[in-house]
Amino acid sequence: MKVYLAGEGEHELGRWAQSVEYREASTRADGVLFALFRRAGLEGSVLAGKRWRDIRKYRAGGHATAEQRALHQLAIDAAEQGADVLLWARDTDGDSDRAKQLKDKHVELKASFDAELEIIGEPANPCIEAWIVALAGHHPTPESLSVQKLEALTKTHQLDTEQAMVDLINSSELETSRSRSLADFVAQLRVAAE
Amino acid sequence: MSDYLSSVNFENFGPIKKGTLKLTRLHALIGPNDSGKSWTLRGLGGRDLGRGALVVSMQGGLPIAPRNGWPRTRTLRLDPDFLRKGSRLIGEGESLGFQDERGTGLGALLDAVFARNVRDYLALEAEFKQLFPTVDGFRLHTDDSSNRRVGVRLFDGSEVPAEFMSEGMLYFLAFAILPYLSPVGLILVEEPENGLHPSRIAEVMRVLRKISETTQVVLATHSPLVVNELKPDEVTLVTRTKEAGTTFTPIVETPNFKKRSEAYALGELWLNYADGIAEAPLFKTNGAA
Repeated sequence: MKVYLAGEGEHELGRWAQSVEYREASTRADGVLFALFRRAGLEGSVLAGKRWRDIRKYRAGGHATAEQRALHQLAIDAAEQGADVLLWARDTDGDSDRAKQLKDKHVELKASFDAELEIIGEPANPCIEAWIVALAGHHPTPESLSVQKLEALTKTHQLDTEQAMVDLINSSELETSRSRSLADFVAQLRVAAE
Repeated sequence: MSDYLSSVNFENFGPIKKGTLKLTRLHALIGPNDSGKSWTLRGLGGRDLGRGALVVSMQGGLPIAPRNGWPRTRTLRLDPDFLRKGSRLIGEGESLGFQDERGTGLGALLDAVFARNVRDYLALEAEFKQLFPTVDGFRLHTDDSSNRRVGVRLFDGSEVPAEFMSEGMLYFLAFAILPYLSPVGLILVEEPENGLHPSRIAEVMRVLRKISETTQVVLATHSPLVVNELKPDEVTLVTRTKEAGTTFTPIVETPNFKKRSEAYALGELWLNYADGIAEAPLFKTNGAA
């Protein structure tokens, strides 16, 4: 399967967060999202990656919020580039509205793209570091922590590079009750793997 | 028969080897530099359904000069500073028109419309008030007994002299007064966005849409903000290759348009897929989308 990655930055995307000129020679991993994809038993290669901040954002239309339009644009771009899967995550930064908007759009897009493109994704609550802390078992409820505390926690446990995160994923059981958003993401991966 | 140009065939005209351009009452040509947009406007200038054409460019824009043999084609290069200027009154029997191609004489024209047919004046004022709801009416200022400058009076009783009138207001007036002068069948506008603050573009487009109800307006633009104000069937992409010359593609006929337009406003869609060269990304998808 050809996978199109979309996420906040280096942790999620690994070398796909780098510009093309540097990516070719990069020895970095493909990031947390693709590591989770592989760990869930899915096979494929990364076709393209896009940082959330690189999605062109214009005025929000009347029918959708800016977050929803960004996700919609990702789906169109992934399909047009010939990807089989759009694999995305977006930090909520504690914003429950953002999470709901993205989840609603995700459901809508899955229906409209149907067989054309598999869409797997989840708003990471409050950020992708919470998923890492949950997998490592360093805190019972990482989703209740602030982004700053989670970043500090991953640093303390030397889990603040994408390679360390990928290594952790490759040696972890993905099912966890410590992060609801990670559990939902993994559940989608499991369904796709069946 | 349509009262506007709905389809125009070109053959061996400038960079256009052969092609048909489908048009609406308000229509925009978009595409890279040197793709043939201005040539297309020139070509339209000669097919004005017998009622003459007016070629308009805005402040800073280059005019598309009428070609010889088109005596009914006039040119305006509107400039707000000139539109604000006072100018001599227009006498009885004199033909109505701007006093130069930059737009000098707007106040005198309004004065003359009032003097010759007060109903026309009131209709013009009503149209203006509809678009600018804080305005109660025109207020023509007199510098001396033979001079008029345009201005407006607001509902709160205050007056806005020409020097403080917005460019949107001035451009609207300049466009809106055209049908009262010497009616034309076609208005061709080169880059209406030129010299305009981005937040005023929608206003000017509203003006052009209003005018297009009675006079067809075809424009060439590089602004996605202009395109955002249009409907999909009102936009044609103009591209050019060495082999095919200039070609016309309605934007609705570009690949995956329906899905793309669900996520993007029209101008955004263009900007997102444009490359400014051949617009190739707009025409291709690698996948099955």
